Amino acid sequence: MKKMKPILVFICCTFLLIGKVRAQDMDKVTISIELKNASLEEAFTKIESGTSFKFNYKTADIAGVKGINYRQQHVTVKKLLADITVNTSLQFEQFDNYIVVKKTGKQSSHSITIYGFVTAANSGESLIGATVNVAGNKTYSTITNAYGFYSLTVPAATYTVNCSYVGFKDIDTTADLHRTYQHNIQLVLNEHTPLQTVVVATTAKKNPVKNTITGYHRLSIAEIKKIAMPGGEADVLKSLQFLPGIQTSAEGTTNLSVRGGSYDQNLILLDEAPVYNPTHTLGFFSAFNTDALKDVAIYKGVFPSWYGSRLSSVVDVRMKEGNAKKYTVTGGIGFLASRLTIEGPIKKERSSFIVSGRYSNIGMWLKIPQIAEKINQNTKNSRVSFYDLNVKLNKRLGAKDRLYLSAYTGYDNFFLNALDKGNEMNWSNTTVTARWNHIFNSNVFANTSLLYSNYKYSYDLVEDTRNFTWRANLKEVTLKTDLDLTINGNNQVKFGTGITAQDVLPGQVNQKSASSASKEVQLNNRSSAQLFAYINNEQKISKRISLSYGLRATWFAALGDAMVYRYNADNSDVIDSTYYSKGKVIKSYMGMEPRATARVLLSPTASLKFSYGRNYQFQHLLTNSSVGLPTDLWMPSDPYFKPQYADQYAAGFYKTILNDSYEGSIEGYYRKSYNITDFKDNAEVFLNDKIETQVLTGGQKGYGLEFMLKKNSGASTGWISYTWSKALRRIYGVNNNEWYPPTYDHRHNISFVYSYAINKRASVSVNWIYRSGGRTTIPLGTYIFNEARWLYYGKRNEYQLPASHRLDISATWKTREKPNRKWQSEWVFSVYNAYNRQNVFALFISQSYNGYTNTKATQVYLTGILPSITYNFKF
Amino acid sequence: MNMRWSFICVVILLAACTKDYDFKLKDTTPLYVIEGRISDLQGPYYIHITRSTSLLGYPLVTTQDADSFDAVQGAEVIIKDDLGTVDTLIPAADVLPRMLYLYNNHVMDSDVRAYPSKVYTYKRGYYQTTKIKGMPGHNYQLHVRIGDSTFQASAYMPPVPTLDSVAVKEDTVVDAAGDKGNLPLAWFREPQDEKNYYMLQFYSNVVEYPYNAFLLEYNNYYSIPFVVDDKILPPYVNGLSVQLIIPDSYPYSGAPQYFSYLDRGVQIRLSSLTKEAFEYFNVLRKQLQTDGNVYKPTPASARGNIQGGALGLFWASSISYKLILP
Repeated sequence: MKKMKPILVFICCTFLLIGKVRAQDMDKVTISIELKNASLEEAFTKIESGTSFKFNYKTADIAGVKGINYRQQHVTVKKLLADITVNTSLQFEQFDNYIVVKKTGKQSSHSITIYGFVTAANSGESLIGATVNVAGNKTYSTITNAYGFYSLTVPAATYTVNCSYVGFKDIDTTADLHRTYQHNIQLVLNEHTPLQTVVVATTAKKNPVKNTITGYHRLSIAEIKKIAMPGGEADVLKSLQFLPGIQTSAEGTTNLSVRGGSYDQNLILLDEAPVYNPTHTLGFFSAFNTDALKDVAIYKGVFPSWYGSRLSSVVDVRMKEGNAKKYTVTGGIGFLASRLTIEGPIKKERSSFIVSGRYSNIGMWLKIPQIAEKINQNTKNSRVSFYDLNVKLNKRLGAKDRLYLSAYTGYDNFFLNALDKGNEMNWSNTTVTARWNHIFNSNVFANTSLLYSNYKYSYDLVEDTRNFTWRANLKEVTLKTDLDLTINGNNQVKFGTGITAQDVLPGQVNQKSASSASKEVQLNNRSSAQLFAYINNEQKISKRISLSYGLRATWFAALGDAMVYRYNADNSDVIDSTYYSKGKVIKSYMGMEPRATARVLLSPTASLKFSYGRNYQFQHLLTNSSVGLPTDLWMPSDPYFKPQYADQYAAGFYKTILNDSYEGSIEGYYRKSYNITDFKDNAEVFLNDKIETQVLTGGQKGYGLEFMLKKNSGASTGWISYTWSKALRRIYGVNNNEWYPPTYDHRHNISFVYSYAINKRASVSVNWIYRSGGRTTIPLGTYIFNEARWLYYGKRNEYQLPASHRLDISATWKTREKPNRKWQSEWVFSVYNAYNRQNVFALFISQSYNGYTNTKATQVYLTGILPSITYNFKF
Repeated sequence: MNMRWSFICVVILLAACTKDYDFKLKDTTPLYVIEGRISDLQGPYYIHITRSTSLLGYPLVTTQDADSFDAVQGAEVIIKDDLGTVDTLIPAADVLPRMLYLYNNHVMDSDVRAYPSKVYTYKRGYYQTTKIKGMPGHNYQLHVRIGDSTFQASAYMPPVPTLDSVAVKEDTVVDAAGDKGNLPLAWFREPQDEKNYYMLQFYSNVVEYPYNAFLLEYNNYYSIPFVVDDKILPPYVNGLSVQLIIPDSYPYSGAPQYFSYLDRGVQIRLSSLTKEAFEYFNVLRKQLQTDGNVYKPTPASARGNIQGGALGLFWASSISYKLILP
């Protein structure tokens, strides 16, 4: 914002009174005028040059009146002045040729709105979740939305406008808010933030205390990059596992289990488009290249009404828009993957782009004979490679419109018998997001998105001689509009509506050659459509109490063409079938999702929150594994798969201490889910057009307490979190219909994430995690059949694995910055699993090597101590 | 930093490591295990009765003389068919006249001889039929009484297509490395209008009687029979290879999975299965492929058909077989 120099202009009344010249009336003198985005001062200058009037005013009085667009022929000066100062408290009095500008009482009765975008000064990236405070007699505050937009309605007065965002310098400006206007804010990066490309940092201060939401965390890419990861490959999803209430069923994987939910109940969004398989290399890396990302938020509790379609959590990943000011190239070379990102303006300040790619060929290392020998692998057959590519373009069309086009594609080729002996797999995700932001006026912000997601997966069975390829895919298109409406200072309404169409190919077999002992078989596609609408209001009841409440309604329909079977009592035989033609509604469901959160401010630094929410999920992941395989099937609801839904109650206490440098929270939750599905024992999944006969249903519940203490500022930052939690599920037909723990039921979880900036160039970070053991299924006993020993099982997940813990350390060393050199670089040294703990990744019992007459238990552990080096650069 | 060392570490990350896990199962009451098959080959047919254990196995690998299981003797075993035959089984004889295929001096011959068996002995819990004859399209009932406990099972013998031809050919199995090996292949007509389940086996050594156990011993590794349903089988099965599932074999440990006895005769068998038997063998096969349950289904027991609380399976199978001579 421009500098303001309050200058007092004294009015010489005497001079006015003794003036001899007979002046004309300002309601008689006309002027033809055109004002484009002008300030009032500029308007006055124009009037002065076009007439004989002169203005007298205090600069401070009129400084806030800007952005005037006005065009009129032969308008009287009086009308012109009234028009351009409507909604201000300015008055005009004429003394001869002088027009004296006066300001009526400090606090006026009418409200004005200040709105605009908050961006980073160095790159032009919009900042999500920045706090904007308008402080006068009272303080009003809001946070920017997912596009960096904010809007605040306040009584007209003079205020201090403050904007803050961790990692950036606070900005304070005095503004005379007497007229609604667009006030875009640019924040300047704090000097000490590591590697300057990383624009975004944590939540704005006091947010956890003041916002009206429970179970919400936002991790900056800078924080994520500090957490030591295997091979130095920063990972969004694995970083989330350090947060309270977030578990994983298998260490080292990206798999998330949030508050007792299974991993298929997480909605992973990349620029609003759902990513159905967010992993590379069977879940060891997440599908997102951190260089292309701006911001990651997770909602693990009651989510705002604009999110829907999953039970447990929403992971909202936003891509960077690309530097709108200058071209930059960033990249990194690591053992596991290498990255390259190019971003820059297409037209300076108006449009920008970012292209970011990542490639990994771990299989290459595995083929080196010495390595293969070391790890007991056959050198020829390992294939582990992946790539991903993110592209985003955005364009500003005037002050009110912005267009964004983003696309992501990722691909994996995987065969590694140490992890999966049975399949050679390929999978890919593609998402495309086209968005249009439009500011209707100061109070109404609209976003319209067209989203596309395509998830394809295929496998070849190793050792199967029928010689075929199995493939499946899922396509989804969504069109939606969201509106942010600032009704007044106390009510902020968001509402929207949309439509989704989805088409799932549940399985198809293609012969690999004409002589294959197989034939082409294709299961019928499963089509479905959803119509949804939501409304949410964030309401300030009093100084202390704020409410956020809303309702989301979804109408879901399973569509033809399809053959729907009816079965006998135990689902073993088809007794009837009905054919539904294309587009015909087979079965429809309505899901109503009320959600509400209340916040009570106990003091400026402490609050209590209570929330309740219901979520619906119309997709079922039919999975046979606890981590997630590309071969898992996504099934839309139908007459047999009823929509899943969950109720969650959460309450918490939030506090910031020592001048906001620490924030602490305690949250408790209870969650119960219905219509959960699981496969029955030994389910037949392969090309089964009657898959519903293989599925059992039931419920799931989880409860727990989460503690977190986080330090956001200073040379050392980080957090400690502890979660006590319990997860249970009951599937009718499993374990005598009793509640039993799922694989990801870990009672105690402790994580410690710490990073310390030694000086401007060097920093270290340490993280440690402890988890009680998860659950697994072990046999009751063994028996001989056909002269070999086999296993028979009792209950599912009866055995508790030993606890796992791990320490990771990383150090970053930046090369010296030289003022006249653009090249900046850093070395990241990391040690994963520093004390070489062999945590149980999997435990299984199998027939032993020499004959079939004995069995033995084997533990799989992922890695011992694992050092690595990554080189990152920017120019 | 020593680059090669770090490469290896990185690779170990994804390669994963395994080690033995010290582990004992909870003590459980042993269950009876009853297994047996009726076929349309020449009898006698056997019923095997043992007890389960809560041990993972016995400390020493057994030979068939020193068993690693608890055989049950003194049971009353009766098999009835739907033609009115009632056959009370007798303890298996150590020496029986059996039909043998003999492959001598490049000539195939067969003969019936008294042949001692180390496997099908009463000491090991085997009982043998005296008169019943298996035929496709018929039902068989099994009744077993051990002390106060009684057990029943029934089995239907589905018909099987006749093997059109068989051969050993060099072929590629689906394998990331694209390796080729010699595989036994079968050609037959698959009735498309009905649901069929098959078991496909081969014997590397034809000097075996065709009605013995179906467990294959191969290169000191064992395999269980390959079972397949007709879901993706074409009307004419144009060379379906017998698939071997060998734990700890290639790609499990580098041992070749291919059949390589080109110098000997091979017998290939196609057996019919009911859905029940197919599913049972399929689950057993999955147990052999267990490699940690992170990516695999929650393991579960094979669901047998013995009523009365015993483990095991009683099944009937029609068998079509052909010989390949070197």
